[in-house]
Amino acid sequence: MLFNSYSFVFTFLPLALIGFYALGHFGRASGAVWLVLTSLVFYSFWNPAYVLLLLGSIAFNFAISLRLDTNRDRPARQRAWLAFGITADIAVLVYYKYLGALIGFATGLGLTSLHAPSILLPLGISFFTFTQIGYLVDVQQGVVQDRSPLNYMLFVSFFPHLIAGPILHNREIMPQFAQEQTYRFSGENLAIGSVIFIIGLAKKCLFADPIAGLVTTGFADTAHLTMASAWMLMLTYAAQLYFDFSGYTDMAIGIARMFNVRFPVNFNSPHKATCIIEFWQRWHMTLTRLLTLYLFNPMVLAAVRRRTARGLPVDRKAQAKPAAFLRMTAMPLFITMALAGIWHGAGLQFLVFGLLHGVSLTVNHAWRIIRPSLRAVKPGRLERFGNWTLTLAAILVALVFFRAPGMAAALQTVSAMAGAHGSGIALQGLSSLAGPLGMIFAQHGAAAATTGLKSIEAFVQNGEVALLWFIILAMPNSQQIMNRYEPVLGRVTASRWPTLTWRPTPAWAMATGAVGAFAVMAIAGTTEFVYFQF
Amino acid sequence: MTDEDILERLTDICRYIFDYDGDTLTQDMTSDDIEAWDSMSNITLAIEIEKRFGIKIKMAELEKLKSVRSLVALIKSSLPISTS
Amino acid sequence: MPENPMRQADETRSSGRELSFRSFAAQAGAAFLVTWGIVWIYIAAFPMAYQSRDYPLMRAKEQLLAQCRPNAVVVFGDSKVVAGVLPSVMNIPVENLAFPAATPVETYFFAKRLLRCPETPRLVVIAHSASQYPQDKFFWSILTSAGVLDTADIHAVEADANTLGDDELERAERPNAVPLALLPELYAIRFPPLYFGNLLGGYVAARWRYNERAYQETILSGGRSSFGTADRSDGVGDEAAMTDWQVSPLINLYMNRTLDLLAAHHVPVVIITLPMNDATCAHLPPVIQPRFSAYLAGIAEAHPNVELADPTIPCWPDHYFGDDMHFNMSGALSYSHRLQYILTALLRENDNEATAQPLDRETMLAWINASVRVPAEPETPDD
Repeated sequence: MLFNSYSFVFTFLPLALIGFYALGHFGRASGAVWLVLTSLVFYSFWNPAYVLLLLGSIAFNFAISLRLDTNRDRPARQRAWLAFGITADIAVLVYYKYLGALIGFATGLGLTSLHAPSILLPLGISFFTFTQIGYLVDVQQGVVQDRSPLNYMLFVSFFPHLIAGPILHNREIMPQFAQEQTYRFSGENLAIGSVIFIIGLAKKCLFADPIAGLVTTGFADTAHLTMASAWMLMLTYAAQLYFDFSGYTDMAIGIARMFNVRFPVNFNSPHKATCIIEFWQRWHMTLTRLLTLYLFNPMVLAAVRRRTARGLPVDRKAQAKPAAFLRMTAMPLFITMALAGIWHGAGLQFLVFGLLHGVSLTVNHAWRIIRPSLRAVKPGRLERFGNWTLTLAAILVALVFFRAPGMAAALQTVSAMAGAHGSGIALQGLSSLAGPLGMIFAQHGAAAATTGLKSIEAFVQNGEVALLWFIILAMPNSQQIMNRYEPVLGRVTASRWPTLTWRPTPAWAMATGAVGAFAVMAIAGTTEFVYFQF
Repeated sequence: MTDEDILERLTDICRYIFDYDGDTLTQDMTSDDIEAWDSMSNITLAIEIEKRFGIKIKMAELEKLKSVRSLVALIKSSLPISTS
Repeated sequence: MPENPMRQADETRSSGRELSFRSFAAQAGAAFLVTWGIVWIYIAAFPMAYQSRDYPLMRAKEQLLAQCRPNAVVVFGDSKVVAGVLPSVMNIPVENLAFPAATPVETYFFAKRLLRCPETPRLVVIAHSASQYPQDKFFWSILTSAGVLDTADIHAVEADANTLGDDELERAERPNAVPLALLPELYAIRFPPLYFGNLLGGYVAARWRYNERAYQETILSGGRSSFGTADRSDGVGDEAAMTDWQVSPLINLYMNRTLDLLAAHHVPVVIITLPMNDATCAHLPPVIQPRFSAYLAGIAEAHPNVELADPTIPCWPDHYFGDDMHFNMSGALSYSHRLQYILTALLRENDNEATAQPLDRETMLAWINASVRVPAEPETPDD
């Protein structure tokens, strides 16, 4: 079941809330049990059989955590149990998500003649697998206070984050489930949660979905992209992806808030970042956090400890030496980013996506280490703009591999971006400026019967994308708009538009209601059905 | 060991690890305030803190290093009793 | 980033006092309903302003149907017919009541409405493309949306589909996230989400002039409307995208029903298929033609009032086509003239049946089939 569907918004969610508030009256346990049950029902809408997989995974991992507890004074045994648990979890994940791709790859190389099986991917399996692996590691490290099975179950299965994140950390969520007041009705939280949900729904349905068609059309014909249209295409896709993903996250945050739970922040205006390191600190922040905590940190820690054990220095000058840089920085980065890539999908393209970001991050870290020491003065406007442009370019190039319908299309797009197929910029008048872009983006039938109207349409569509980028770059993000009510766990920087901060005033009531109406209308789709294409 | 002592030593470490040339660190600073303080340098910072304070930092606590306030608290709680 | 020193001042001269969350919910709810209401009224009142061209086309077809033109030949079919049959250049009364994306299912309901006229038509032509028989893909998204079928009709079709165990209506293209069971009623009340895409696509009101013009032109031409307008098209049409051909149970049911209905009113029927362009012919998988022809032949056998003009799909040169499926004006003129001869011949034949000298049916059909082939030379009217 998707958040942006009428059955969710008008049936499932109200029922879940009513049951929660009603049973919350009778105490924590009944409220928590209700939440677990509704979460399982939510998961079952996609495929009832896989609820058993989810429950099995939860049971298995909790059992492992108990083993870890009992072996606290036998570290070797404990580590063995941890390794067993993590291996089993990853094996399940590999089976469902990667086995088909791996067999296909091996068959393609001629290593085997097995037929690649088509295994239905359980929704959210990456999320609930990695969330639980993180929990196991934390238990082994001894930093988990709450060991209640009900809270654990709720922590893993809580439906707002189950399918698409944010990836929760037990330390920030389980204490909330342990509190009595989480299970009591709060008008404020219901209102705030609804507003955040509406913001997310609007971002997804009114901003992201209308331009999705442009992206599909563009990628359907990558052989004919010019430099201008290729960059335009990637800017369009980047906007779509941002509003889609951050919108869905906002909906999750809003729904959680309706249940009196605060989620961690997941997006912090990532496209305002001026270097790629900062980008990953602002994009899908909970994934970055997960990968940093459980993958990157251990690898770097091990490398650095090895150096210190041999008496070697680890300050900045030492890090600048190639061998040290390779072992302490570059290798962990590449491995982490390769994994970040294939987290998103089982395919060569996703691996390339990850590795490209590995390259950018390595270059960024190298620059930080090698360049002259920190200036007292902050870099000027022009330099910041240059940094931002370079960062955005790196992001868009990697994104090609994320989205393109195949490696061939991806390579065609990238070569078009490099100028291999002509620039595509004509200078005679509005309509021919829109011409090459219009050729890619014109998708409506009947209304665009005349060429004039088609060019205007292409022009309006390009204006649409420009407007969305204005919003991305100049407007406050969802957390900043809701800043007065602490919408997320984590620091929120104040925005430059203090009047655009939500408060329960009549003006905001009107805006919330009107935007909500359009967002709900847009759930059924914002592109029209056309019988034929010109 | 007082908070001021800890902050002095931390500032020293920061100068060494990321060439920090600002004023002494204060409790309300975080990793956002120092440009070179990212997850990479966070770890070398941790190792250096371990070395100079004689404490052991658990991997799960590396997150806490990102804010000076929780870092000071972490150091204080990890110090062996005889030096506190 | 330092706190904005103006923030305090902003808050005091704010845009309104703060409400309790209950009043906020009430006011936001009211704003929600008012917005919804305004958009709903607009959508219901001004469809010509924003809907795609299918809407004015449907209004035009309804108008033509209502005219109940006496002694006419009525042509039913899909968008190929809409683009290809130009009654205003034909010297016998012809009504082009074809509709884009229509299958024999929709044709049944058109035929039903037609038979409410005081006089029955002289002849009915049914001309659906081969790609319109396997599935009624656009049942919801184009046909119901444009108002081709009313709610009762839709429920009847759904009931038949259930009886046959045919799930094509569920697989048909339709709006996301709206429960299927409610769709007929939601379309009937012009539920805003179903038309929101049209509203955006039509830039709220930018289609008014275009739609009015399309309506007028369709009426004046007797039911024709253009699709592609290029001088030639070597695009490959939908027929060539099919890997196999098979009529769906639902469509077969309605095809037979239509023919039975027309037989009950003593209306002669001829089945033809409009041509494909050479490019599509070249790419047509070999399995399509024989299966399609066999089906049509079987239909004609089973119904005594039905003639099958040509079991195969003709191939015409690319320069008659404005896009991969549809005739341009040149193609429409050419085809309409040819069709006129065929219809004239058929009508004479029908009339002659009443006289003492019946025409040789075999010869007549052979002549018709030859006429349906590619025009060898430029057209010269010869009657």
